[in-house]
Amino acid sequence: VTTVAPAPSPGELRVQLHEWLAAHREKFADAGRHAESPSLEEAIVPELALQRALWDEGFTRWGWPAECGGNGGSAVLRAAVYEQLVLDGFRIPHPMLTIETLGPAVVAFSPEVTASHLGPCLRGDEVWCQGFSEPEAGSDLASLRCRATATDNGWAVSGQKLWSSLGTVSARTAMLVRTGDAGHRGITMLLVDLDAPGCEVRPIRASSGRTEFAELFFDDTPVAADRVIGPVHGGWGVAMYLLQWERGMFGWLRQAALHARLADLLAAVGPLADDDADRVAEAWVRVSALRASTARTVQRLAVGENLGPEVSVDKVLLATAEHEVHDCERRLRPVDFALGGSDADEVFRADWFYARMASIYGGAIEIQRTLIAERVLGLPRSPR
Amino acid sequence: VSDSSFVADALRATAVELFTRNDRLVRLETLIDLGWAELARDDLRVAVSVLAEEQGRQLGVSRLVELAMCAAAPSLFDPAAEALVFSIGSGGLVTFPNNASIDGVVLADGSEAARFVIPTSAGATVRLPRRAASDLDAAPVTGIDPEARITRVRAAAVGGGGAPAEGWDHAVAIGSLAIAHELLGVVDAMLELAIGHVRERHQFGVPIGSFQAVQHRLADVRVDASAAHAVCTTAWIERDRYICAAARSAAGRAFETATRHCQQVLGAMGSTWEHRLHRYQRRGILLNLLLDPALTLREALSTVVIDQRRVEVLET
Repeated sequence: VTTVAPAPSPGELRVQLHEWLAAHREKFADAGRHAESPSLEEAIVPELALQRALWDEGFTRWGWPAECGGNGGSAVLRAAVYEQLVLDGFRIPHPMLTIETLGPAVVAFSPEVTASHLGPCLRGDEVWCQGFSEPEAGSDLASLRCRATATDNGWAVSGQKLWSSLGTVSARTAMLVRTGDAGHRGITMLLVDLDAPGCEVRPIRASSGRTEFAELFFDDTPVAADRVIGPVHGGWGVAMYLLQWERGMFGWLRQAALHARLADLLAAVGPLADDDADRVAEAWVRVSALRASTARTVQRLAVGENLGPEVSVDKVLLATAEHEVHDCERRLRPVDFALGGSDADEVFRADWFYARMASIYGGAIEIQRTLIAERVLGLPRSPR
Repeated sequence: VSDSSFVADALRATAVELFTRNDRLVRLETLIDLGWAELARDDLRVAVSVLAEEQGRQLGVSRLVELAMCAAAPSLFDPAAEALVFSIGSGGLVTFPNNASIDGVVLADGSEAARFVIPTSAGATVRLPRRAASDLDAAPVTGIDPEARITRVRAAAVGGGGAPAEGWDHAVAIGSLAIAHELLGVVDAMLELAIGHVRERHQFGVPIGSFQAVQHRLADVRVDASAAHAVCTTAWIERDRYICAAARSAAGRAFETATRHCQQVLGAMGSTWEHRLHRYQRRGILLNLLLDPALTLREALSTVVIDQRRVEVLET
């Protein structure tokens, strides 16, 4: 029986982390904001080392339940840790972005998978990816066709998934499969091993130049019965719960990175002409709005509130903030962007291209705007 | 339900009643009699945000911004006897350079004050010299917003004079929040008009609000309004002048988005004098000139953004 101290406040946890990072700065230098490799596969190696150390030291155990090795306490503590990492000059490890979308749903819907598998993922011993989109199911996610058929001891999965971020470095995928009739009532979420028979992972090189995502192929891939996350045929509800965290916590993680980006940019370019300064200021205000709004979303999710369509606001804010910050950077450093040959310049370009996807991934903002119009403002339903 | 939300609801009901009276002017003494001093002392956020939002929503007029500024810095001036001259359109300055001529506005019943307070700056120092109203060229103007009851004040340079203004920056910060909330009230009213119209107006046999081209415009208004509300919330936590300027800026952006999109979806009806839309547009355009946040935000770039100073929003 381990005895865990009472949960710290977010501020106390920030201070503890800040001091620990100061003492271990050199050891994790390659996970620094300015030391990122243009290759995602290389960048992730020191990030996973940092992720493991943060878990072993207990920092990232806060906000996760004891069942997966966590210390308990509010999910708000996780938000504090992520932002502090960035404030102290580190990257938020890429796998933690997926953890923050998949993890809360696993905890909420499957005590079994939480206990059996989530711990190693949180510690960074293995990486998970989402398996949601398909070639014919993007914004219209409920039309997905990748099928799981019941077998004697579980399921057999056949079909294809697309745009799985970190797919090439992942050990498992939390995927949505069709187990029943067409529509959102026939969908189930499964945790599937990517080294299982019949499964193939193919990398996709993004416009950024990086292997940002993968396509996953399944041919009668066996999945054990205890790998179901949430009810059979109840996967849509799990996905909707998950998407709230993707709006809130993912947006929060990104605001931390975007704030740091603006600070770095200002430090790099020196005094600005007034119109440039006004552009940067507007981007900063947008990122401040993203921070304020996602903080509130995370706080509400942390106490179990169901937020509904309002979270789409966070997603549109994220997309516009990403675009504005990266466009400012391109505008103020045009020569580095166009001609620069260093690794940092390569990452600069890759990040700009990746930012363009912020209005596409996780639900295109056209869909979010329609949700806001119809379900927040109460406008009549558009033809589908 | 917390005490403060009970107070807010009661205050909102009172504000609606006051600002919808015939001439929509709520005089300074009415706000004082309403218990302004106590409201401001108990919860300045509720007092300012509720009254300012209703003022915006109802196209009301009052000296609330000045009261908010004086609540933040009580020694600035005495609103009962003195009115502040607001700088408009001087390259983002919220003060008058002490060697430049004065061209600004006094709000609402401030025109009746015996003395005008003219914020002047020499370098970073702000002073508040007073002048007898009768000594200045002050005349009511209709301008962009005939309902706003503004008085244009012009004068030769007034020079420095007086001690440095104690708490001026903080007063501007809180005054900026008052304007932000008033703008958000205006935005809310415009959005409500637009939503009502696109639900009722049919073309091609369907309500035009079912067209995504229409939906997405109004969704963007809602996003920008939510963004501004969120920054206001952060600003009230710390009351830091940079975050307050950000809130003021975000509200201005929401207003510009609303002006563009609500006008478009209201179509020709929304372009008539008879329709209420232009009254909100006029009010917002005027408000968006008061306490311009541009210079404070440029300053923020070299301080708050670089330092990554943070309001701890996770603990509140």
